[in-house]
Amino acid sequence: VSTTAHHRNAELQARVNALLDAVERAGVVTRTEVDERAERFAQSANPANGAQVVARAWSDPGFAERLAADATTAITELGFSMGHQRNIELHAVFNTEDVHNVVVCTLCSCYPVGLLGPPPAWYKREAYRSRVVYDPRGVLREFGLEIGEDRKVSVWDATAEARYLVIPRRPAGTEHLAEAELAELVTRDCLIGTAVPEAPRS
Amino acid sequence: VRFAPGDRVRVAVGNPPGHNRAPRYLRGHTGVVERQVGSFPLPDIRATGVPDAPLDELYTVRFSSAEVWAGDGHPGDELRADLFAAYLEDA
Repeated sequence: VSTTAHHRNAELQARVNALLDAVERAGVVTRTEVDERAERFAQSANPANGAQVVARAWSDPGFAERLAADATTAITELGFSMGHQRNIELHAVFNTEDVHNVVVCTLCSCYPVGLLGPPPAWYKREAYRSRVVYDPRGVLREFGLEIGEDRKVSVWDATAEARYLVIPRRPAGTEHLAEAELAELVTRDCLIGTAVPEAPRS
Repeated sequence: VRFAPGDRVRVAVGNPPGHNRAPRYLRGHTGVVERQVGSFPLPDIRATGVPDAPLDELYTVRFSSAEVWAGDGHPGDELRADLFAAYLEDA
C-alpha cells in the first residue's frame, strides 16, 4: 500500500469513526448493532448463493423460465432476496450458444453482493471497468476465456437500480450430477461472466 | 411513459456539474430501448441531499459496440446500460 493510499484509508476511517460517534450520541444506532449487522451480512453474502440459483435453473426448466421473467421474485424460492437493497431489481442474463454475457459497473462496483459475496479487487479497479466495455474479448482472454467469432459478447453496465446475474451454460458431461454437485461447478467469476463452469475431470 | 421498447434514443451530450450516472463513453451515442426497469429518484437530484428527489423513468438501452467504438468495436457485440429518461433524447 502506497503512502497516499494509506493516508486516504486513515482519513476515511477517521470520517467513519466521527459518523459512528455522532449517530451513537444521537441514539440512532449503537456500534455493536452496526458490527452485528455487518457481520450477519458478511456471513450471508456468498457466491455459493448465486451458484445455487444457477444449479436450480439448470435442473428445473420451470424455475429457469421464472428466473428469466422476474429474477427478483424467483430467487425467493431459494430463500434469497435482494435484502437491504430494497428498490434494487435483479435481472438474470443467460449465456447461450450465440451470446456470452459479462457484467461491469463502470461508475463504481455494483453487482448482486448477496448472491456473489463482496466484489473482488479487480472488479472495482479502473483497469477492468474501463477496458471491459471497449475490449471485452481481450479482457476475457486475459481471464483465460476465448469467445469464438461466431458468438456475440454482451456487456451489461450496471449503472443504476438493476443488478445483473450471469446464468452460464450447463457444461456437457454433467447430466448425471445432482443439483448440489452442479452448484459446486459455479464460481463467482462464472456469475460475473469472466469464467465459465467446467465439468469435473473424471 | 416517455419511451417504449424499440425506440431509438441518443444519450445527451454534456458535462453537467454535480452527480450524474450517464457513463461518459456512451454520451452522444445512439441505442435502442430494450425495457423499462422502473421509476426511481433521479440520482443527480438525490445526491444534492433533497429529501424527496423526483422519480424518473429508468430504461435498459442496448448499444452496438460497432456504433460506440466505430471500427474498434467487434461486429455483433453489444453493450447495455441503465439510463434515466433525463439523460436520453429521441434519435
